[in-house]
Amino acid sequence: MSGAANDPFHASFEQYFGLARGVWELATRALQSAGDPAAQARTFSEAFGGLRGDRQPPPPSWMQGWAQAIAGMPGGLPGMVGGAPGASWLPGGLAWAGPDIPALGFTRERQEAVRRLGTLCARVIERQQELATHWRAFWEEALRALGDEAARRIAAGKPPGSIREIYDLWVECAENAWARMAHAPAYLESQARLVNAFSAWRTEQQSQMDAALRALDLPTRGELNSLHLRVRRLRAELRRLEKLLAPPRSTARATPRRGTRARTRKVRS
Amino acid sequence: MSTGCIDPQAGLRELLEFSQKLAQGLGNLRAAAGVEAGCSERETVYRDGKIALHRYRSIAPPAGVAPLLICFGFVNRPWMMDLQPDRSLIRRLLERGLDVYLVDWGYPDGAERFDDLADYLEGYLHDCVSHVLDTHAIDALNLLGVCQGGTFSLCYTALHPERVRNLITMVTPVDFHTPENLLAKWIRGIDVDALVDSQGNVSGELLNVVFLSLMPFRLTQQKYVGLVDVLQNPQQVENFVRMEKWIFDSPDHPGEVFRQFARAFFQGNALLAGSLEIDGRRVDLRNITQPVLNVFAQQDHLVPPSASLALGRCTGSKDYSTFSLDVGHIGIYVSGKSQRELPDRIATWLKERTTK
Repeated sequence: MSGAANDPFHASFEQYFGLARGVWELATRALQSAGDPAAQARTFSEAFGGLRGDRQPPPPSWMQGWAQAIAGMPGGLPGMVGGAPGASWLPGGLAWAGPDIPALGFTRERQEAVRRLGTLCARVIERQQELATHWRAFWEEALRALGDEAARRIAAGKPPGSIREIYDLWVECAENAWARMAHAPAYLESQARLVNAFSAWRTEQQSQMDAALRALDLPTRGELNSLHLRVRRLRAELRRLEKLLAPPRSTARATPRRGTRARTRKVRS
Repeated sequence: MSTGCIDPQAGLRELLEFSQKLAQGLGNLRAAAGVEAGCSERETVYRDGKIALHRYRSIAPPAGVAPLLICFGFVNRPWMMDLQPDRSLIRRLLERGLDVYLVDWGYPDGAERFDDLADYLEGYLHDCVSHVLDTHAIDALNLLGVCQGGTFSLCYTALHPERVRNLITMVTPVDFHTPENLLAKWIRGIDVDALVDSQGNVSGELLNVVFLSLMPFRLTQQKYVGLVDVLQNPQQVENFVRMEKWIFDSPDHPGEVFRQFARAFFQGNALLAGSLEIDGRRVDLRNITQPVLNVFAQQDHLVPPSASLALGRCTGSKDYSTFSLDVGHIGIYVSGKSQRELPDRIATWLKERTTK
């Protein structure tokens, strides 16, 4: 039960249910005082004025969601149908109900896409924080090394004689500490995970941007890629044919190749 | 932090002097804003889309060796090879009578995102080689591959050994899995397909961040603190700014080339494994039987010497030699030591193999 009580969806439901019950009660009381408009008005005023505590309005995220929905929908439903520019209203959707609730309704695919983006972005942040722990350890090690090295030199009767000398010593200690960290398997893994998380996030961004461009009938990266690949295939085929048609090298040397070159240039430019 | 070793007054004096040097040198820095790079005269002799083949004008009597074609990578622009008169490997080679060509890949954009290694090596590079061979009516040329361009050159030579008379590789990675190779370690766990599918071409800016991250304190801070020491010298400031310009003039990497390069080389160590296929043909370094000169930098943090030296174990060449300098990855192009020693070594090595 405590699990259910901590569940944001459960809590929101309770609040919403409480609000609905309150509205129902005050409507019933108002109806009971039928025939006396002044009493009806008083009843409504007192009843709504008294909606506090467990009868507060739904939680801010819920409200925010709808507020964003209303504010972010250009042209209402047509905006939703037309394309992604209106998609900014989506994150609020059912987000308050928890990330594990499947997206529902007409815009479910878009809701899912926005959720994916959020999840991938969160992963990037998580990986950054993971990498930052290595950096923190690095700073500690570099500073400790500087202190140790300075102490060693002082003990040896050769203390750093200038600010510049201390600075150069710092750079040396920092670079050594950096190299130790940068070569360590744990750091390599962490850094690679961040890069990979960033790539996944960027790919999802591009996919959603492509969806928006498609909705506006503008060229997408996917379409450009297809065209580039077609041109490349044609060029490869051209190169293959040129090789087939080219005379053997001994003959080729005796023949001026300017014409061939000019053709090649034109095609490949 | 109390150091217990610096006199506070001396420390203040030092800071004051630093500020004064900075203030006095700002004029030189401002004057260097429009600095240009590239110094040797050249002519574009062939062009295919964004790819250009340049031929440098000779400035000395011909040495009598086959023309030298320089193949650079995508990571930066090739004008590092001809930065300024006193820092130009190309000019030094021209002074020694070599006939120098350079392949320039240009700035790939969305139109090249699906161009792969086969397009670049069997298409563009092959056509550039053909152009040089036809121009000179010869069967084979000398090929100099630089950094990633060196890896390209190895692949090309393995596929077309009959077209390359002598091969020179410069700071070229061959074994991508040596323990010092941080870049390879970073790439190994990355889902390259997802990266390329989401990025398209991999931006030069992103790659620069990665390269800087290999030694972040030296490359993003200490270097600029050091600049203050030379701000009084307009020539050195110009050199610094020119170098900055080169470092950050980074074209985007064609997506498919990046995908193949990262997966095959950084992840699969394909040159050693013999697992790379280009246009359906296996790249086998044992096919490289011509003379090979492998040039590497002893302090290279991008392409560690161990990554380059592996070449000696896997080519089929019986005439394999190395040449190294105690410099870093950039120093091999522009350091005074390199300018004095490397061009002579290359020219002499080529001449010796021409008269054999």
